[in-house]
Amino acid sequence: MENLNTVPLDPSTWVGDYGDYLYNFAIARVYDVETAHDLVQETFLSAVKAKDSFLGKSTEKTWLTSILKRKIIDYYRKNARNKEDKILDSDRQFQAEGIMHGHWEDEQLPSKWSYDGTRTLESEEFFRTLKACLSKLPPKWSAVFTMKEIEEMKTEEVCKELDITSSNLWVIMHRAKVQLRKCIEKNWFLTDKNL
Amino acid sequence: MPWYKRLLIKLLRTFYISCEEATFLMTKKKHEALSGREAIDLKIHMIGCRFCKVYEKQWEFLMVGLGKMKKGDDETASPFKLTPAQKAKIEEALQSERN
Repeated sequence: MENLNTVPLDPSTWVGDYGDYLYNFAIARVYDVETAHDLVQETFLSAVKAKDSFLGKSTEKTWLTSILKRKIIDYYRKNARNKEDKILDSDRQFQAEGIMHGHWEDEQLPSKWSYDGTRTLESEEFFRTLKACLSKLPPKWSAVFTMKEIEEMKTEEVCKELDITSSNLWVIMHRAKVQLRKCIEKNWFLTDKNL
Repeated sequence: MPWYKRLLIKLLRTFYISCEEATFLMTKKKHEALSGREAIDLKIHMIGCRFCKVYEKQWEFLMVGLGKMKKGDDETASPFKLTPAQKAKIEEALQSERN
């Protein structure tokens, strides 16, 4: 039966109209430009295959974005499953043993940051540093962190997608945040860049 | 470490949580209600611990930064641009798909 509601799409306009937008959307979530490029390409390819199912209920942009979002989640799942989520001993923030276990390692004690909040938030380089630090996290940690804190997905959803319990999730989030803070401190706030 | 110091620390640890536990509870608290015990443990820790106070403040700022990053990336100002070569590659793939 012919679907009378399909809206004609013109894929030849997609790259020009939405390419950069989708590219940035992906980079913000996978922290790697090559992966982002691949995901955008896959999105367009899937969209072309599926274009007869576009009902025009949302805009082209929203529709393409939702396809990309799904591909990003699939990327997280694949990435998180295959890789190790370990960090170097030298990056460990808290003492693992001894009477002071759970206390900060001496070299990892948070330093006070002196910075101008407004200026920092206007600095492109600050955001590049932020993204670089996110990309340095073990894949499973950055997946959890991004899905929960940036995508603001529900806990149950994240757990379902990544096949982890909510306890796992909090532990991973915690580790990610502790690591991130340190990375940003080291690479931004305690450098000359933060002037 | 002298024995009496060790003993004192051991005693304190029966009700005083570590910074690792405190920062963990700070993370959890943002999304899920803490149990009564957890909430008290965290409060007591935060009274005395200047490092965790610093950590908390720093994360407040970073969350603002992340929010801005997300918003900025999702709006029209796209700092990253696909290069003409990248665009061509995608167009090519699209073309062969349509054929």
